[in-house]
Amino acid sequence: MSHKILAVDDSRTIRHMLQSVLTGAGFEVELAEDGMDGLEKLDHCAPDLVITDINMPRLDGFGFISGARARTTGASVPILVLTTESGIQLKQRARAAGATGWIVKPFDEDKLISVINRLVI
Amino acid sequence: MSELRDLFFQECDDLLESLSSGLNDLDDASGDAETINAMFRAVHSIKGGAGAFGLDALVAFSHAFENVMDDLRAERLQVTADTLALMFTAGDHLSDLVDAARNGTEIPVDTADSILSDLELLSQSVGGSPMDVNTPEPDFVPLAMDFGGPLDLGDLPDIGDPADPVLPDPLDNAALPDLPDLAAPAAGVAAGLPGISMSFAPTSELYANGHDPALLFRALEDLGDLTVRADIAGLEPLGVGDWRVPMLVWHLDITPDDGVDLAAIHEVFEFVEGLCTLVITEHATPNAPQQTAPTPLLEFAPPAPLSSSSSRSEPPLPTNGALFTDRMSSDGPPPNDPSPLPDTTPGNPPHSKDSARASTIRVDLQRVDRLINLVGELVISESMLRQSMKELPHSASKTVEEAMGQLKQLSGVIQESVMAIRAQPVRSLFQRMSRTVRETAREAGKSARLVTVGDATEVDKTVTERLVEPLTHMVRNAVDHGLETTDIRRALGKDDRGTITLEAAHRSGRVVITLRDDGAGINRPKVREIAEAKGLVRPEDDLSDSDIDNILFRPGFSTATKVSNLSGRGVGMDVVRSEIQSLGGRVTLHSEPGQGTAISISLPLTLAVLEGMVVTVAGESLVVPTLALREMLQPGQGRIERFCDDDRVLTMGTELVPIVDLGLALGYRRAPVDLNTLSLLLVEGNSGRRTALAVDELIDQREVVIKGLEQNYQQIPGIAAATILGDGQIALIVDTDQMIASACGGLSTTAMEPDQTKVIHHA
Repeated sequence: MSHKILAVDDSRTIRHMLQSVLTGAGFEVELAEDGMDGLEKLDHCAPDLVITDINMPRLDGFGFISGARARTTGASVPILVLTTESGIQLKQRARAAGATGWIVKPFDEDKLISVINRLVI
Repeated sequence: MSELRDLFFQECDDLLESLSSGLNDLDDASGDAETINAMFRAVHSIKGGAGAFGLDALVAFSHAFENVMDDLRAERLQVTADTLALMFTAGDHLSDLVDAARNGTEIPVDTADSILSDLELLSQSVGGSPMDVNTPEPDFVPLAMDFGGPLDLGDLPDIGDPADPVLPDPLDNAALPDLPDLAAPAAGVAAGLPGISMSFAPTSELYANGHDPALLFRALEDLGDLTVRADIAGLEPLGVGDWRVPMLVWHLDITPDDGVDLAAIHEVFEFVEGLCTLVITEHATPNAPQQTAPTPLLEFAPPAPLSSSSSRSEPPLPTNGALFTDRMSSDGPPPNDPSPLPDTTPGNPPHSKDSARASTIRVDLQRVDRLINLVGELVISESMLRQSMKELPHSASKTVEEAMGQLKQLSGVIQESVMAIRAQPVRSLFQRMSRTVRETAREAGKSARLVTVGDATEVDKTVTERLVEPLTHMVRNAVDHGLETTDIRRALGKDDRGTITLEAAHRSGRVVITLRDDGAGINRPKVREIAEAKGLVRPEDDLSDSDIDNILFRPGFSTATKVSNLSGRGVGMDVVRSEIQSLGGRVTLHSEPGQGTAISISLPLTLAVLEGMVVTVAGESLVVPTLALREMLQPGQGRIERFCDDDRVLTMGTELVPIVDLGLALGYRRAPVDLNTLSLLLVEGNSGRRTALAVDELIDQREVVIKGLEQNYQQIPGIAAATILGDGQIALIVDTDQMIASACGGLSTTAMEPDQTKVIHHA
């Protein structure tokens, strides 16, 4: 059975890119457009891993992660932050919110897949 | 990849539009914090996508822009007129960069650099942004895992660089205080490490952040021969102590495979740094753990105190170890909080502007056009079917009649809905004009702003696309010629800053776009003077104000004394008008001295259907667009006078209107017919000139689906397009403006070449 990944990003381009990379690697992919959408999808699709952007309308990545961690559906799921910023402050905030790891955009496909494979059972 | 690229550039267009709309909101002080947030996200998303496609110039510029946006967002910078001016310029430049990236063209380096450095200066003036990697946090220690790899791109490491294989990018590293320099040992032992021992004690945060020690061990197993021992010494008896504090410590021994270096092992623990206590020790001999006094190679511990480092007061449960989820603990809270937590979601309330956003899909325009075409055929088939039913010897049954009625209604609704797909708001068109206003004002040394009204009004996509040029020209004119200079405005007691208003509204089945300026109005004496000098009017002509205003639309008229590169560009308002006419539009102008000028463009909602009068000429059906139709006269109703030899004119009060016999003009017949036996259609062109078209019979007025002739055949003088009527007959649609032009040009009914008209007949 293939693992399911929820990708949350407000950029159509990045969503499309993630979808093609992840489906290409054999994952089942669910997409969400922002944090609010992400939380809804999280409850419905019970993913094995979540990838989220930080800067998003309505509910940003930090809010999404905290929200996810407060839910039974997202309490222990690995959440990867996909961000263009690699600043330490951002990572600390992401971790404080409950992020599992982070990937800096632009991402290398192989690297992304290997990181994901390290985080899903 | 090219599909993805297209998607990116489409998205860029949307993002630039929202940036531009945000700038305008800030400009007229209707913006708020969310406006700046949305603008930040727009620039940020462009940067993100640009990075993925290796568009370095775009990345660099949007990065600088983003920093300024971040300063505004954090209120380190205030929105001042100067800041705003720079942001507008930067927004325009960003749009240019996107275009350049899309088309693979170059942008002059000097302008780019000056805007970039302006942005950087602005950002530095407030102490820079924390997002900028060049200004690291005080406690940020450059990491050993950097391995001295080139990080010249700031926070955008070049992941595609094959010369840098050890760099664990794009995974970045967290701060690791007191981390020993790993570069030397890693380089030295790359061929095969001796045995390595690790002791690993996770904190509760490690579990809370979605990590699972078992997965870390599995990843280590891929790197070599691994043994794992769990140290249960710290394990409390059930019911004693805080079960949420992890009690297990793991001892791991690994004999790495050839080629596995310490960096690879370190990478496994990358995300858990700070979430566990980890001690890595290296042994001289493989598989001989702890024989010699081990020297810790790498050691890190979580920040203390453990519990306070989390921002969450109630860390969720680790669900990974069965031991920890036992409900028998009496000290702690129940492991699973039964209450659902729908309201704990932090962040903005969902009732922001974005929540009303409709979900959309992107469809290739060709598919929509195909659909529109097919629906047109459907409508035609439906009316053909109706026609055939009428001609049946027996009247159709009532059920068939009802079914036909439903079919007609349905196909009508389908047609409307399909047309609506092509409709899009004029917002993007209007926002492009905002830039034109700024640039023109800057070049002309004036101060101007654009106000838009009704920019959600929808128009056919083709119409908005084809309006860009004429509207740009009109806007340039309005700023360049319409507005007074700041000095004069001040002297007149007007606001220093001129206002250009663009307004769109639906009015009786058409879209009316009005461009208004609050300038001086048309200088009629000067217009007349120039027109006389150019021989366009005679000094003795009695001209009304509106006659003079309309001179602006005459070919060969331009009030600009020098051809500036602004409104000049070698085109006059006559070109603007003919472009709008070709869209089925009408242009009207209204000017008030000292108050300003308003130019209205009235356009059809769609270019796919046309309201027309079906007529017959020599047994052929023709369609005359209702738009141009002013009056219809039955045979014998009009007073027809003879003019010169063969020409006839219609007397309308004091006005003499030329008559064009469509049968002769289009070559349907050779010999003239007595005009008193024909019906006359009085048509008016955009120039205001009128002509009477003589036809054999008036059939009825109806909507027809326009079928272009050009792609199937060729352009024909006097004919705008073709259509298929209900009975399957092909009918040509008359180009009234060309008919009027040829009639008024020489008052001749034989303006068209006979050879060409013959072709039409057989077409």
